Amino acid sequence: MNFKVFLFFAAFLCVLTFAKPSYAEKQVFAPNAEQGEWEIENTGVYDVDPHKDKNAVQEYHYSIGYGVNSFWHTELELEAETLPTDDAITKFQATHLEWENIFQLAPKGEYWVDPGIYLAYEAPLINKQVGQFEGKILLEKDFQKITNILNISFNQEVGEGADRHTDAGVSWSTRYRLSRYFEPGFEYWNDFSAIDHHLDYNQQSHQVGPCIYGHLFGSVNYDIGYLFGISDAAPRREIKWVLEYEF
Amino acid sequence: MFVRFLICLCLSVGLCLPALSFAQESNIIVIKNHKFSPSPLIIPANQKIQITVDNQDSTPEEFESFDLDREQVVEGNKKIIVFIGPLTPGTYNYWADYHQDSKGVIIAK
Repeated sequence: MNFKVFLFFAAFLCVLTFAKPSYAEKQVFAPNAEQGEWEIENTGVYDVDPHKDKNAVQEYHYSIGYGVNSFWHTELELEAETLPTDDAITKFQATHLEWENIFQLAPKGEYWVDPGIYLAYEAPLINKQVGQFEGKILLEKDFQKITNILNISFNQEVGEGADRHTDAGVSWSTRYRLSRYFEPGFEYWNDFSAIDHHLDYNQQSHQVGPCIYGHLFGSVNYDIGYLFGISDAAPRREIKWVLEYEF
Repeated sequence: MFVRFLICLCLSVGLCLPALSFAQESNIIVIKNHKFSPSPLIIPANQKIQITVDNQDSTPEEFESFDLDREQVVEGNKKIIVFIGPLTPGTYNYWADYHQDSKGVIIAK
């Protein structure tokens, strides 16, 4: 346990040291690692907005992950997104290769809140893109059949042309564990932008909306949400999903 | 300032974690020939409970429960601790994920 507490602080300080939007992918992470479990995952978002530059923005992640032991889950991920071009026609292409890790810092239920750390590095695959380190503090708390998860995120771009400001954000998920196959809930997503340069509420991105979670066919987990932009910087509407096959 | 605040918050949470751990007593579930015993396991309601899952088989098993929101692997001839509760009085089902016909029940009274 002492090693895990040390790891928690070491990772947190690394995040602050290294530490744009603040999220590599639209998923609220639980601080859990399942030993010996493989997973193949598809995560995506699709934005709808009256402004052309924010409309039909798409981002997809394809990943394979493995539970190395009871406290470490690691994942290799390919990110693809639509990129703006000079003639205002978006171009869809693979942009980053990401290595992400979740460290479960205590057995679930041992403490009042379940803690974890997420550390990831995104390497750029195309010119004019930069790499970035991403760190999150993961906290989960169950109240009977209601599960609440909070992620506090920090991002720092690295490489030539990188923005030297550290960005931060918060994401929150609450779900009611109605059945194994259907858990209704909601999510809130916030991107503060640079933590040392305060922006007005409308310059920050704030989104909230209903989500459903659950299992299909025994080994497939789903997480689908419809988020409403509640600040000017956020897209007016966003569809987000996570499909995960475990084996 | 914000960074300092976060560091202080983090240190505070870290230092308080041991004090927030309030599991009370240990109960044992044995896995042998891919079956759970005892079942049902009776535990007190409204208390945090520590359950030792002792896998006496040579193969790994996964203790899984939607009711308890737990999913933990226990390797062959090894033990794990599962922290649950506080639970309202009632029946809580669990199963062996690698041998899904093997099921068990925990009753909180």
